[in-house]
Amino acid sequence: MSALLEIAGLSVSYGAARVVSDVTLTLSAGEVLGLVGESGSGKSTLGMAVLGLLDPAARVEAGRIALDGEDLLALPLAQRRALCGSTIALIPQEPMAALNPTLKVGRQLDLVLRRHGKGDARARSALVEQALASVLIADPPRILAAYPFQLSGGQLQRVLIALAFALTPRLVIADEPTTALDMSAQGAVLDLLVSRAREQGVGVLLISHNLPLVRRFADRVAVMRRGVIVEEGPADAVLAAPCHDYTRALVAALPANAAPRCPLPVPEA
Amino acid sequence: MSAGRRGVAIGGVIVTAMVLLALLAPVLTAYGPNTVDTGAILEPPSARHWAGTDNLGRDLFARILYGGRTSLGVAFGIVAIGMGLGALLGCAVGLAGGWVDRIAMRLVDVALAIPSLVIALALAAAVGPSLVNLVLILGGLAVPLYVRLFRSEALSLRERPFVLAARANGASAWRLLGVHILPNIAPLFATLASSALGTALVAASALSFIGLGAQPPMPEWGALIFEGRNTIMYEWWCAVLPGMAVALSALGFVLLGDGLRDVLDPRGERT
Amino acid sequence: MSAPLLELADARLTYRRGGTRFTALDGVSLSVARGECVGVIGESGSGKSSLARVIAGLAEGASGTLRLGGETVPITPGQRRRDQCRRIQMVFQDPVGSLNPTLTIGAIIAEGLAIHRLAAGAERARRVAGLLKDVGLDPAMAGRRPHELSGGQRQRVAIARALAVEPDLILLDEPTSALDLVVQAQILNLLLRLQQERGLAYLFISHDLDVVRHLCDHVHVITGGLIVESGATAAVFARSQHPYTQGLIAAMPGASAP
Repeated sequence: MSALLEIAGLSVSYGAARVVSDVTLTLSAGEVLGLVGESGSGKSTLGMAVLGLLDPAARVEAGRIALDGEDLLALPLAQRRALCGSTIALIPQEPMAALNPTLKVGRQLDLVLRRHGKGDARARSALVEQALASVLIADPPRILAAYPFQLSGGQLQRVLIALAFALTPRLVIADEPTTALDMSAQGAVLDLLVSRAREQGVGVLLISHNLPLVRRFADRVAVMRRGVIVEEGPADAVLAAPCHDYTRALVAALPANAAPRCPLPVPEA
Repeated sequence: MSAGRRGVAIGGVIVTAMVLLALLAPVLTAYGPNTVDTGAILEPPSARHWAGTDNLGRDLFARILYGGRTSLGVAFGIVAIGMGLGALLGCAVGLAGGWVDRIAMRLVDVALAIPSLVIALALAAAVGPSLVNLVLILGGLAVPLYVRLFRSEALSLRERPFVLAARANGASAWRLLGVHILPNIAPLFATLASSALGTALVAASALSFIGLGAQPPMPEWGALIFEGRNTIMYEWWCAVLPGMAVALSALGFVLLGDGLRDVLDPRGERT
Repeated sequence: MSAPLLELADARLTYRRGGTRFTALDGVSLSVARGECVGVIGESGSGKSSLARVIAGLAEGASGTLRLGGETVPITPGQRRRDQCRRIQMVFQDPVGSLNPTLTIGAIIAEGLAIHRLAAGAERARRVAGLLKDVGLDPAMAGRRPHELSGGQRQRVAIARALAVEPDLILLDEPTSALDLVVQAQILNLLLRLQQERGLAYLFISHDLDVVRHLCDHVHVITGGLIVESGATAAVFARSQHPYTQGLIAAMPGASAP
């Protein structure tokens, strides 16, 4: 499989602080790459750098981000912006914050499809129906007629996944997509995301601090610590039997892996 | 410098300048505001009279400076009563909740349903035109609006975890209000008060212009404009210069208020 | 045998939203013994947060019986005596909203001491410094403000605030759900240590089964305003009786042992 996304020697800083340091990663089409680490490890910044949505105060110091061989960092801003949403999709942490609270869900979906030129009203409507069916939403008309605040986090995330895939992306960046959800919804939502991605040959960069979920759903995983990738490899192997001390410490800190009511080993900061 | 900070800086400078000019009036001009000089009637601005003189030979610069004390003082008084009382009552009502809140909101609805300008004119005519009455009437009319506004702020604040923690701990209403609610509405208050000062200044000047506020010979800006209205064609300085004072001050307040909103609002605390 | 520390019987709470009545709690009963850690597992909309509010005395219109150390305590807001309020303290999920942004850390922690008139002046400052040390923070932090602290540090401050008045029971409503895995481990360790040192009781509400299984002796599962299963943690997880619990356990991400 050819590499869909190639990140080579990427460094990003916020003022004097280096948040991402010389990171090199590849992701192939149809593959799920998990990116795990503590908060502040730089994993979200990396995702935002690929999307071109870095904070204005952040600067890419060095490196290359190539999508299908084309260097994104060398593109003019307008072209880069055009990729965002359509070719590279984002599934954010807070689904509620990603939607306009004053518009019904159906209307918002239609507006986005219209902005990306997905045909006339009838074509868009058919696309929306198809998209919602593909994410196993039980009652599409009710969801379409509802306002975001009337739906649960899990339902909203499904809607956002449906929308992302309706725009036929090549790459999906999921930035802590399940952190705001209930436990039972987390597995279902990720299952959906990963199976749709594999069906359509879309690459997924799954950014999360939830190790068990990443182990279950990702093909490969990269462990990030203070801006640096410390370990990388097949997800199940790395998280079941880590080589690097830090990864081992992260896995040991999970409550699930410790005896009840015993202190958890905490990795060094 | 961000747009917000620019607004605060420019508006702040204008407001500070106007306030200082008003306060330092005796230092800045040798003339009194009411000193009549029949030998110097309607003189244009000159080295001797920086803003010219009016139809009684009074130095207009002095009248504008001393008038600033009155106009700005009235504006501050209206906002202090209207927003000060409104914020306190609104926060108390929002914090209390229950039937207190319900009754208060019905009263506010009634008060807001009646057009305020009509009430202002009627009351002013009834109690007689005077500056104190002006402050009380305009201040009082502003109270219901601010009660409603700050009540909704208090309602949302009282459900924030840090307030819940204090309530669960048996904190008294005074403590909740003084330590938790009021300090957290302070940024909103500052922002609104700045803009409200501009509105209050213009409203007070307007009422004085039609004779319902400051009475002659008091040099309030609206009254000055009224006095200068007949000579506006040729001796323009009598009406235009006080008018510019009102406009400039109001602009300063509004810029300051808008700037404060940009600087204070989107940052952290108001998530 | 002495009375349990906390006994809640038949708690009910309904909201009126618009024209419809919504039942948040439909007759919930539970108890917490001294020094025990009781977990409540629930998802959003299950009533778990309403349960916390009812016990804390923050829920308007709640009904039921609440007993603290054998003594009946009013369940509706605003009617408890101050010393009754002192015995139950709360720690919330959101580290950002938990602390008053206009106060210093020291003032936040000391507020309980002020409300309950437990200490003043130099003694108050001494206690605040001691509490900061107890939760693993530098006593010099007392002069800082919440926005200068990280999420994990803010939760520690919230715990220090709860400890300040020496309560019998701490109600924790999703205290680690907003924290990453390393900070979560630190906070869980802190909670364990404090419980062992001070003999505190916890009522720990969470949707994270791994955390509840790790920390709690006894667990209740709540859904739709009702407790559907209760028991010793190991028993409930090994042999759960109720289909809802079984569904939750089955949805857990994966095999726990490495």
